[in-house]
Amino acid sequence: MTAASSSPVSLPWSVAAAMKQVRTPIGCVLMITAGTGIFMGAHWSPLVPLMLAFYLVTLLAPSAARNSLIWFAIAGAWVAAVMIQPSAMEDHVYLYLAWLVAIAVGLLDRDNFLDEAGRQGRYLLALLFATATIWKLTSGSFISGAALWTSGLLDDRMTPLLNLAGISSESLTDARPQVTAVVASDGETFDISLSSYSSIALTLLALGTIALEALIAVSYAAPDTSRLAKLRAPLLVGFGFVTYAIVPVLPFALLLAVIGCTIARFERRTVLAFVTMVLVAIVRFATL
Amino acid sequence: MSAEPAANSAADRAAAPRLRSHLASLRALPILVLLVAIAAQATLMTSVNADRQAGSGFAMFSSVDFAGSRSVVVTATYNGDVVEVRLPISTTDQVDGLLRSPTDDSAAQLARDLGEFEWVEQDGRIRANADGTNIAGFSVTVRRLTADGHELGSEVLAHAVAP
Repeated sequence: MTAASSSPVSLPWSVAAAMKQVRTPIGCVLMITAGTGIFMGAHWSPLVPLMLAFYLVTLLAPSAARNSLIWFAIAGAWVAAVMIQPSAMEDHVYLYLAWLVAIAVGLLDRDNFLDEAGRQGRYLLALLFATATIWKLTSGSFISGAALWTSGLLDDRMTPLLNLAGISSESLTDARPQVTAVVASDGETFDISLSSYSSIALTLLALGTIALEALIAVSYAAPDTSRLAKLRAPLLVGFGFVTYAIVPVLPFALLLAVIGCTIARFERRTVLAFVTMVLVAIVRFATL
Repeated sequence: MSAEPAANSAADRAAAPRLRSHLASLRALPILVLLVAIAAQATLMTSVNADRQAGSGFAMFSSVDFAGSRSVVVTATYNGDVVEVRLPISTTDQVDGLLRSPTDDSAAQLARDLGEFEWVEQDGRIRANADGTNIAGFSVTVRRLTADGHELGSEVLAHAVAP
């Protein structure tokens, strides 16, 4: 009798083989995407155990997780969730749903999974940021900075951003009841009295946000051979740093990171940049 | 990160043959899913003033108008005076729904539902109380913030008065 009978390769299910598959680009995409779903489950808690179980499948039985039909089924569960609890869902849930479908489609041809999923990810990010840009350009109150000021007034997480623009927390506290009175009655108005510095800073912030989001949309829509394509990851990571250092939406950060890494084919420096971006979101969330 | 260990195995290839034959047509599915979600939310935002910060609009922080900056103002006539109404906790979900997606119909429903409670006056307002009296004529108004440059104002999104 030799030691071969106790060798891991003789087991029907091998931890070593599973880990080897998880450490591939496909394995990482599947595992991180499934793991992101656990956080997305915050929008509808019945999905948390399902996504937790699915995450374990991608980790412990990665071959099984490479079946396209399973991903279509998980996407179906999320379709049900947004139908049952539409009011609890936010925009990143819909991006997640579309990304699940993109993975399912990509897994139909595993030899070219990264090409297909990366292409799908590009289109999704281009559409997302183009939409965000259009809303900001057409809202009528974003470019002036009024929307950012109002958001900061009613969302404490944005206070540091307004402080950077020279708007004190005290002035926001003073303004809060007055704005409440304006929206509760007819004919009342309130002037957002800003210093020249704050006014210019808010406008520049608004224009900078629009420019950044528009550039992200264009860079991801551009062909891979375009010079703009080189800007994709730096722009998206830059957006993540700025956004999630202020408002840390962890599931969204994770989702953008896994899509961004897939498009960049898990190039080492890009992965490190996206990991840092997610860490920024985690630190901000932990210190809120 | 290690290289891909395996191409599609025979078993893998058998997993979804019918779907695989439709790969070319399925390629449009992910972007269609997102496009439909965005179009649906955009329609709701422009037709029934749905909340910009909810749903699939990707319109976060783009406007002074969002559910959190809106208000539901409810008044009633009590002993001949128009008084503010302190809303019962049981109407919280209904009020949240009004803030997210205000329509005259949902405002009318809240106005009617308030007529089912009994009310007492307290500090110039009325509040629901089992020992109170029934009153009618509740007025429900949903307002939103508007901005003209840096000047904030407001306008009515939905309004109803219960008979």
